[in-house]
Amino acid sequence: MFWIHKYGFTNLSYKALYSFQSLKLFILFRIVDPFMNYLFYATLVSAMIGSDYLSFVVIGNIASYTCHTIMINFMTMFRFERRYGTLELNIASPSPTLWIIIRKAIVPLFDGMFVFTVGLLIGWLIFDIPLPLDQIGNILVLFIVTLFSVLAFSLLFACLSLLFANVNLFLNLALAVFQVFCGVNFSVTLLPNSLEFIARMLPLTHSIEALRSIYGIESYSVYPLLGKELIIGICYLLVSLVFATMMEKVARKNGALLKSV
Amino acid sequence: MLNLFVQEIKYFTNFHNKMYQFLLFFQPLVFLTIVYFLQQIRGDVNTDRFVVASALISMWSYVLYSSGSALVSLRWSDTLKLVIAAPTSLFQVIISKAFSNSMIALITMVLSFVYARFIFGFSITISNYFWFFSSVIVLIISLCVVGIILAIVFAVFQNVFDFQNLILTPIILMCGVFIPVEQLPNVIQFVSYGIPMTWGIKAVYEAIEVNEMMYTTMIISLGISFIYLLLAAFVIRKMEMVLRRHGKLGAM
Amino acid sequence: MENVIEVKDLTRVYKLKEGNKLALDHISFDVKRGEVFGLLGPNGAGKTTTIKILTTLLLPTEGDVKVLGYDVVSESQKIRNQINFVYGGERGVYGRLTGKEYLYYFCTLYKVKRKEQPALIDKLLDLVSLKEAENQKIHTFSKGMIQRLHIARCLINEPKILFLDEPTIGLDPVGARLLRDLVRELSEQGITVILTTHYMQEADDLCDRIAFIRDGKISIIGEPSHIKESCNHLNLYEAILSTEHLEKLKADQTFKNVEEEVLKGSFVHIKFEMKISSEDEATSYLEQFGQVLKLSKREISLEDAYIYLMEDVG
Repeated sequence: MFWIHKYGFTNLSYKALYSFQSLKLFILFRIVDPFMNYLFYATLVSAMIGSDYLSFVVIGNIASYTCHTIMINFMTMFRFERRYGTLELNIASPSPTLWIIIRKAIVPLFDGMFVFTVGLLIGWLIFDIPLPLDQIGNILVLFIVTLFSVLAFSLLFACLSLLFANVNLFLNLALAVFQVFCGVNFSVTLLPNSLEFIARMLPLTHSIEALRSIYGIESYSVYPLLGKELIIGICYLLVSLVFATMMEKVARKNGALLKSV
Repeated sequence: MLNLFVQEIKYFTNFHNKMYQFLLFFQPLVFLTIVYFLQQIRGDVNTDRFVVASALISMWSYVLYSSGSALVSLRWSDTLKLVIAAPTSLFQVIISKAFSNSMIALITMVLSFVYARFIFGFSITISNYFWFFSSVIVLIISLCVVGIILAIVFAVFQNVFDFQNLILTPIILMCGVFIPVEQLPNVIQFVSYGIPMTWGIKAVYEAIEVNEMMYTTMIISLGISFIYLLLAAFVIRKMEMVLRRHGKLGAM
Repeated sequence: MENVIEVKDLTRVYKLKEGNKLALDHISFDVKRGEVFGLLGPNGAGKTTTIKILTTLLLPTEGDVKVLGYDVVSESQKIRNQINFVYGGERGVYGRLTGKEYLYYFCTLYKVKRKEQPALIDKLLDLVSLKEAENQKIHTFSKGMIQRLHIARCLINEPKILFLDEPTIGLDPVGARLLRDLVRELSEQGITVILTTHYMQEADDLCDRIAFIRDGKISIIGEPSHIKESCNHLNLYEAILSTEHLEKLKADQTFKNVEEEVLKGSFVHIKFEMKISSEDEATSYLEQFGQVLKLSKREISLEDAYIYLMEDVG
């Protein structure tokens, strides 16, 4: 594959900008930390409403943690670019800005893939949620669709980070909103109608329902949900396309590219 | 000493820090929302425990991030030398930082209760306010001691500081925030009872339901906090000597 | 010769919380193909703003700016292909990469064909004498090495114009010299170079033409010799005298821009500027402070011109 090339863009982006470069860090932050996070919510629900509900919450949190990983690390790359003063060097190159942003996303995508896979394994081995092996194909499709919609949504933030030196507060707020409104810990049908309407416009909501359905915890049909997720992703991607051009223009206008952290 | 504490609150509490804003004001809101919808799934949930849990989670995360980096950040800004050269002992400086951080953590506790009552309509039944406040003071003291220990550990072992995030959730789980420590596996119980906060948290929960055990728990909590405090004082004095000899923390 | 840069009435306003700041105030200038063009001026005069606008990273508030015939506002992509820039200091590198990896990264960004990359990178590393350090991580590089790496980076797309913003800042004399030699070499190859610097000697050595910028305006523009000539009315002296009253001399308003160097005991070497134009009269005025051993007029350097022209800035 073209991106695994030793001097390829992706590999170099990873080496230059990614926080997790040793096996120890990877085990701690990609296996232990997510596990603790699943355990946290699993304990909360067990204490509150009993352990029947445990698999529902763990599955939701696996999807949500994957999304966290992708978004946070994607944004961190841009923060580092600014700290190193390399953001403007990238933007000033003849490669289109959106192309650069998208190619940089490949690294957190791989990371997300890993977290997702490990998450399902943790669910199986530790929380005793059997992997529906006969539905591996569906899981794979779900996986690709979800990564796409999460990435499309993250692009919005990446574009914002051209303009603002520190988008972390927005990002944290967005992630908190995801945690509450995407049906991670409870079904979005419990939300008041207006909030459910908003929740259904966010990425992840339909994916989580689909994933639970694959696991037989909920009983929706999987493909219509994934179709919706895909459409949502496409919408965010289109908005990002416009946004990237716009943000670059605004950033050039007010000199935001040149600010460091 | 009091003076130092007041200045600490005035000058060093960085409410503009986006992460602190998030931890202090927003995190309880997120957590309580989750609790609110979860309790709808089963009607008969006693939400008191989870309102307090919300407060405890935010308090603990604030102490972890603020006190934890108290010494490390002094080193970053290169003011550590100045602090050591000053006539006030390093111990006093650290203790006032840790204490002021624990007091600020109290804000988020109050906030959790306010959110719970007025936004989510949870009723919290506190039968005896005197004992409840006493238990909160005990909790604050234990948080303060934990803050001091974190500050020292992070300053001495730089590589542990990188793993700050990793101890956030395990401590919440181990200290009996959701599930009483007695119900945890034996091995974990053993560790839990060695953490001062476990006792502080236990005291708060017991004080809410005016459990007879609360007096004992409070006394144990204060006792353990005191032992840790002595230990911290001893380590800090040692640290100060090493620092003077080598001129930097890296020497340890 | 044709103009590769044309700036007409360029104005740039920064919107700040404290109100608007006028960074560039209707400046105009042209740069010809193959020239080394210097932008000099105190900090905050608008040099870097000018460079950022020319390199398409910042938009002008008003005015017409054309680089290689393309408009910086609407045709930035076409410009980016043909220019490159370096700014001083240690920023703009990925510390965790090696020098070689860093160049590969930018080769991809600048769309150099994969097959051509190794040869190009070898050639560039050779040119900036970093061949031996190519596999070292950049965070171990010295300032001079980082600057040279930047030069290598900015040559990746064979630019027609190079922008160098204070490239020698913080370099040791050897490093600065290496860099100056490089700039000269590039200029000989026909690359147009726009340079900002605080070192007047450097500007004098390298630049074909210079613009002095102060408070967002160009105060003078021309060849270094022309700029020096414009200050011919200045009477600059250097003298050796034996004096016990150096402080009194320095306090005397007749002398301007006094620089002194104590040689030995009461002997001092001083440089100064004064209104008196004849050497004899100057000698006799100076004698009231001590015994004048030697006095002569001195040639105007670019630095003298700079100090004169920027006199009441900051």
